[in-house]
Amino acid sequence: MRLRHELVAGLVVLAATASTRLAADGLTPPKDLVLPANVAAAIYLPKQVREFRSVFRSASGFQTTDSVQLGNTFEETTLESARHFFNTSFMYEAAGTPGYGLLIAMHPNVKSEDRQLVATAHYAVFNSAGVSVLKGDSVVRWAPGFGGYNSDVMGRLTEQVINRTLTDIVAQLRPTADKFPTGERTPFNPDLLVDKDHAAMSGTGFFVNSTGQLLTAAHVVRDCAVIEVRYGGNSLPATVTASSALLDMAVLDTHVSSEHFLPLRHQGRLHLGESVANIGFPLQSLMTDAPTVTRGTLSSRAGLSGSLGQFQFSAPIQPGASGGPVIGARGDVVGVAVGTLNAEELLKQGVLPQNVNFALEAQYVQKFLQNKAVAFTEGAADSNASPEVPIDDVLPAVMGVRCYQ
Amino acid sequence: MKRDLAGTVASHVIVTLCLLSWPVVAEDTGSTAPTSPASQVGAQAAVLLPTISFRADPSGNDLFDALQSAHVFAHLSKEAPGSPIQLRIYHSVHPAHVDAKNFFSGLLSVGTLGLSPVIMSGEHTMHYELYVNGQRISRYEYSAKLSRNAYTYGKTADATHGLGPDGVVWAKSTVDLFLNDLAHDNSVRALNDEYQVYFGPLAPAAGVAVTSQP
Repeated sequence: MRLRHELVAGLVVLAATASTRLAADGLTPPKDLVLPANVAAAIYLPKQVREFRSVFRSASGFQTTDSVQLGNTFEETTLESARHFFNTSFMYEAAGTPGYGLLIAMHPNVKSEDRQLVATAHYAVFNSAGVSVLKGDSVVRWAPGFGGYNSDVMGRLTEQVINRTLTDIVAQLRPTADKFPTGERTPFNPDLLVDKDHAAMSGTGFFVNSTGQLLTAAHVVRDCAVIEVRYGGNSLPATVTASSALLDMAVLDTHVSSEHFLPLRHQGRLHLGESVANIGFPLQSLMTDAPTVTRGTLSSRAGLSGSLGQFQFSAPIQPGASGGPVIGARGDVVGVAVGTLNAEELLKQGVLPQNVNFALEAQYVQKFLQNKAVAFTEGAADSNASPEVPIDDVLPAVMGVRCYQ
Repeated sequence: MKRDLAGTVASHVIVTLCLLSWPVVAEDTGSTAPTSPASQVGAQAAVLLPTISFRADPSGNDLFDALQSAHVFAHLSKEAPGSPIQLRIYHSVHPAHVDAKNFFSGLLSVGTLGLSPVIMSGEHTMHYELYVNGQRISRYEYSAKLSRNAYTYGKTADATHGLGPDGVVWAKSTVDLFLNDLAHDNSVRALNDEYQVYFGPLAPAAGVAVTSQP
């Protein structure tokens, strides 16, 4: 009996703690709502958000110090908050997630606006049958006051926007086990979970053979829930079939045949000063689905100090050009664009770099494709170099790549 | 929109890593991390990684020489901005709660000695992270509870970067722990193998033995 009393007392304390925390955040779930709800909730967060961890200067004793302190990850904060709302909660995984009654897809972001930090979470909620039951946005604003940024502001903001989102959801759905019974784990269409309005990353790719396999930069397609290849207003779903973090290369499979694909430079030979053109789909959130062509020269056989297998070229590139082909004077691929100098950082040092861009040499691209057993062709050894890089035949083989989370 | 979030945080971290300093002195240390015999470190000697860009906060920066003397990091460099491989080391602290005892002890110091006390204890962590083109392939953390009672008279520089003398000794001891863990890290071995596939065997750095220690 005593144990029972202690258990009840403990639950009361727990419930009081939860309601106190929510009240402190200015949140008021309906009073007749019993929380945590007897519902199993799976929560989807974009990969790049899950591991986000606030970092702030440590305050201790009587003095704020310069020492760094780490807050919880977004995932940890989410799970900690969710247990106040649902009696079972866990992160949604593409494979291995238990059955659930509700699936909550959250897409949070933080931006600075009028000297305020504004945290927004777009959410979409589905039942166990995959039917959409709710969509919305929750917003929390924070203005720096006493103490400024010398505390875990981002962590508190994260916690508040998650609590706000979950409060909004339970207030509208009033979830119970009867309304949202736990269903069998069934494959869920990832298109419904990701934020299709904002690509997590975008880049460029090009077909290397007729079977629909295209090459792009690995960092463009890292941790994507959905990958789309876009060209001429059409979208093709794609999957990663091979990748190398070391070379920053990835092969995507679109499972469509293509008569347009690009040959790689014979034996990867580079000619210093050779005319080159870069084809890419930069700034995809601003531009239409049309390729951009820039011209320049192969300006150095070496990349930055410590780089591996890279050369330098001067054809201008913009964000989104990663993975694009660098076409040589023979109309073949001499390299794949993978990076550029960080102009913003160098400007702080009084240096303004111009058109210092880097590509992985074709010889290493070939080794990568051979290593991964991906078919490709080489350009002819004795083909003539053109004074101007021919691009008309190249364009149909190049396309934009978008990664969604 | 999500990139706003990621970008904000990333730049914050980078700035933090570059500018850290914490002028306090350690009084007492107690490590929760086990020590490892140096002989165990020899197990990773077969792996020799290519040029690695070293990036660290002041506490981590002090570990550079010890790391570079290890075979696996013979090509560790502070001046290799183009390297696809990056080793990041930084120190964090989770301060202990300021309880009533600490609070009144602080007030007493202010009142009687005219000192500005900084009474801090907490869990200190050295973080070691290995990245390949921005993708983290390994992460190790070593923590110890360090308690300190430091008195600062102003913004004087602290050569221990907030660790205190004993904390510095502890931080250096984490190098062996890290090397030992790395010796059994399949991701690092796979990275070494992949490097050799594309770029061939790596020449040892001058003055670095390539054979494993017995």
